[in-house]
Amino acid sequence: MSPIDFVLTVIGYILIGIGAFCQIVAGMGMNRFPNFFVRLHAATIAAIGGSFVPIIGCSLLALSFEELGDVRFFLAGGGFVAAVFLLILAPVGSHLLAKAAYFSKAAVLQPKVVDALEEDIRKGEVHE
Amino acid sequence: MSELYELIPYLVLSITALVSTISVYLAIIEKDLIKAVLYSAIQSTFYALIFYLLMVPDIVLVYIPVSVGLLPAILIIAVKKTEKYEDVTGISKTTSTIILTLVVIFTLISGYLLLLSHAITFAIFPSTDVRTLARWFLNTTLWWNRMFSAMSPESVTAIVWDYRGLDTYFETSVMYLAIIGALALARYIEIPKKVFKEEAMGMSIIGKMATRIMVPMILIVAVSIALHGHLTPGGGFQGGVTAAVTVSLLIFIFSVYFAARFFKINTAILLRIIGLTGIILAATITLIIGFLTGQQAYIFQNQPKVIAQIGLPYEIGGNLISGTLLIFNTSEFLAVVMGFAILFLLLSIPEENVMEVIRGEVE
Repeated sequence: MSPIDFVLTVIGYILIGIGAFCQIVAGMGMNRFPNFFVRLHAATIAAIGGSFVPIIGCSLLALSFEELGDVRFFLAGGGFVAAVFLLILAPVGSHLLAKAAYFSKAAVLQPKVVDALEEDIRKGEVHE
Repeated sequence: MSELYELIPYLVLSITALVSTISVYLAIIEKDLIKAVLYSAIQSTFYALIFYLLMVPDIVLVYIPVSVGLLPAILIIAVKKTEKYEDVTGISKTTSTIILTLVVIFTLISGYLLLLSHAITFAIFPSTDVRTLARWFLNTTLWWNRMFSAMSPESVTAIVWDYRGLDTYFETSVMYLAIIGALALARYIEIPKKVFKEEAMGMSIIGKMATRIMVPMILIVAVSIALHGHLTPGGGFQGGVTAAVTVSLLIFIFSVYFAARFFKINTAILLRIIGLTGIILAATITLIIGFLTGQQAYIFQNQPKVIAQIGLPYEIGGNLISGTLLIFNTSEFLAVVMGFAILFLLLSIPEENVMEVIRGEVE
């Protein structure tokens, strides 16, 4: 195993470990956070930290695994593309969910510390 | 004596089915939720036994840890965290006795009928001959002898469009008829003509931008799934459904008026008919060639057979195209995309317009 491959393998395993940690944290957040919007934050942690990061790690692992031959480039390429898709789409999904839940008043905002959007609506800067 | 021996699995089957039905009933009427979870676990155990008797050991291996171990554990944790007793007023005792009696009678009768229907042949369990057939299909989908082969490495597509082509043709017709039915129901209803305004309609600009990036990529993946249908898992229907996602994205993220710019319903119907014509053409192309050259041929014939020597080329310039399979996949892709586009557009017409048309017809 060449030094570059060794480094790639180690980075890949570290990224997968970070992913597992993020999944556990996100699960705890989903269980304990008080309302919809902060739980959505936990779900986005699961999507980015728990899916995007380990997929990058898996791609690096595949890239460094020479026994696969040329197939490893296909595997790694597919992994990177899927990770970029996730990186683009997961925040968009969370944003749309939060917006829909806020304006349809389906989710109760309780306990509330500060609501900047509500103040902006009151001032007339933002319209539904 | 051997017949009696063969009856034993049926007896065990009926008894297990009965016991699992009873435990389901007990799980439903039990007020103590922990006990209800245990009853449900008992039912899962007996289901696992049934699966084993029906010769699916791989499913048993998944089923036992998940539904006997994992699921009750999670449910018990959930019950511990919430309330232990169900506080809704349940079914009264006489009703429950009646229901239990009915369930038992139903199970006995259906089990008896099952036993009777299979007692003649003793053939409920899959015989080993089926596996020989499967092995034959798997080994000959891409073979040196074109007479016995579909010349496609993807055995599912080969079976769907070559060995069992007529089945798939009728499945496609069923979907065609369903969409014709939807169009007939909505025959005077049209998408209202409104100009799409970027700021006023649809979701936020973030969602719109992400959709603009994603839609071409989804289309590329869909076309690739359809065109590689004879090489990799997938095919015309799968690719078509993937491409239909873009239509629903356009409708939900932007607006139906935005989607109607790209997909006129009449154009979609026309393209769908073109796709279906392609399917019919691919099904009869060997027959047409045989008719013109005066040789024998069949419908849904792909490669030459022993007494029908006409076949389509299975490769062009070294690229495997598997004869008719490529034409089938492309046409099915077109037909399925346009079918789903029509359905999505029809479903997203505002209700006021539909009601207007209905009132206008009645008056």
